[in-house]
Amino acid sequence: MDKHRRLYFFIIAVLLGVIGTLQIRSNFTYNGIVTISKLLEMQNEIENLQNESELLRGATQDMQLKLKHYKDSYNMTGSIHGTMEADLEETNDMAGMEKVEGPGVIITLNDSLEEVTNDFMLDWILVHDTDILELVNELRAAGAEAISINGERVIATTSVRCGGPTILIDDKRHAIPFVIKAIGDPNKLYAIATAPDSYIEWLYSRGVRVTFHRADKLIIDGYKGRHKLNYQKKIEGGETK
Amino acid sequence: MKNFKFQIAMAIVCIVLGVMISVQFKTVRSGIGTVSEYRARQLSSELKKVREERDALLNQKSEYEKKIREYENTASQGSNSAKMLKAELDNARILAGLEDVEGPGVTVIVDDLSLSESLGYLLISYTDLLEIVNDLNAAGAEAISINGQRFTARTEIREAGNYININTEKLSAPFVVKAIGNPDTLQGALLIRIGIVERLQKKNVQVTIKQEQNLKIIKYNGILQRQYSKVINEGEKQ
Repeated sequence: MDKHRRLYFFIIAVLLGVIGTLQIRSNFTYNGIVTISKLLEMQNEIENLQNESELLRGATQDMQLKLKHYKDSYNMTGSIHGTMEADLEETNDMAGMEKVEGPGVIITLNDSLEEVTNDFMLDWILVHDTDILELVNELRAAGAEAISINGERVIATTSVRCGGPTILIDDKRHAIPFVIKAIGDPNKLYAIATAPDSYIEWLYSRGVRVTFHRADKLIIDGYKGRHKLNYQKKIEGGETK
Repeated sequence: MKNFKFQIAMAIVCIVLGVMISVQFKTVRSGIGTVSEYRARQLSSELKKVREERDALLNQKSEYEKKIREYENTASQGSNSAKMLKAELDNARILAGLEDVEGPGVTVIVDDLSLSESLGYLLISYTDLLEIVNDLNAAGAEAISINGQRFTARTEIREAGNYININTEKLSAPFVVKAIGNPDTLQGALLIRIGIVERLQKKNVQVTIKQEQNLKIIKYNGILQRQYSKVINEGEKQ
């Protein structure tokens, strides 16, 4: 009787050992938990990188061409003035200093007309600096190439701040209604208004008066403010990583 | 008594065995585990490949940039007008974020101390970073980068799953925000009462601000592509 029991116990122990190691071994190659969202994330990243590479390929080709221009005009005239001038305009454009035109969207924002019944509502019904900031951010994410708020060009250093009954855009006072213009792919830009969790949706739910239009042709002025070049200077000798 | 003990031991072993077998069955039978694992490996090797390709192109780009600048430097040694043009071009590049720059400023380290992982959501949201950038800009910042990503006129800060995308690059905490400008003004603006730093600290985010005398901020490494907009010169009235 006792012997039988021992035998059973032995068999179970062996089974347990085998299954245990199997489990551990198969877990080992598992590399953490593979979830669907992780897979999608990876797929997304691959797509992003491929798009980036595509752009980089175009850019390097352009640069190759530019180098050839430089070489040619340098060899022929001993100067590369013309090419540098073209480069200057292009770079100024990227910095937001040039007047540009193209298709895009126009958004207007105005305070809600709802009756104020409690203190909370005071925060909700007004158009705030953060509302404008969020919209600009969404437009940038949608690939906007140029953005302006009430005619003020938005550049890298642009700030949007609350200034009492007004909003300061790069230290210039603006009041309602706010008109945000953006040039870019009209379909992509328009999608920020129709996406299910868009910021525009939140503005609507607060009763903020929002209008959103496509435009075939928009003109956005270049940045007219002070160039911020007091503290920063370029690193001579370039490349520091 | 002895018998009883043995039975208990047997029962425990059987339960463990049962659970193990069922777990084993589930992982093997559902098939999702192994299939997605294969897919994951495939994707990760593809990811590695495209990343290497991107990096190679980036290297080539900076190689060309270097050569172009060499030409410009030689050219600017000639006439005065060429020298001025070169200076203008340098300034335009600085303003566009296409030049490595240095100067005084602040480094702001925003760290969730890995709390986001255990919480299951991002403790530091994109709006926090958006606000920091906006506050620094309001305080006169001239150049800003977050984890090495230069903030340009077209830079977005977006939440994407467990990451924050800046210039479409996946980033996660700790975030190192660098800003060139007046160090006192930049720091003071962030430390305003009920400001962004105070609010971050309230939700257990660690914020460290360091004033720097010589801060380096690297340029934007991507492409500021123009597809829909074109420059119209003044005088060309519409």
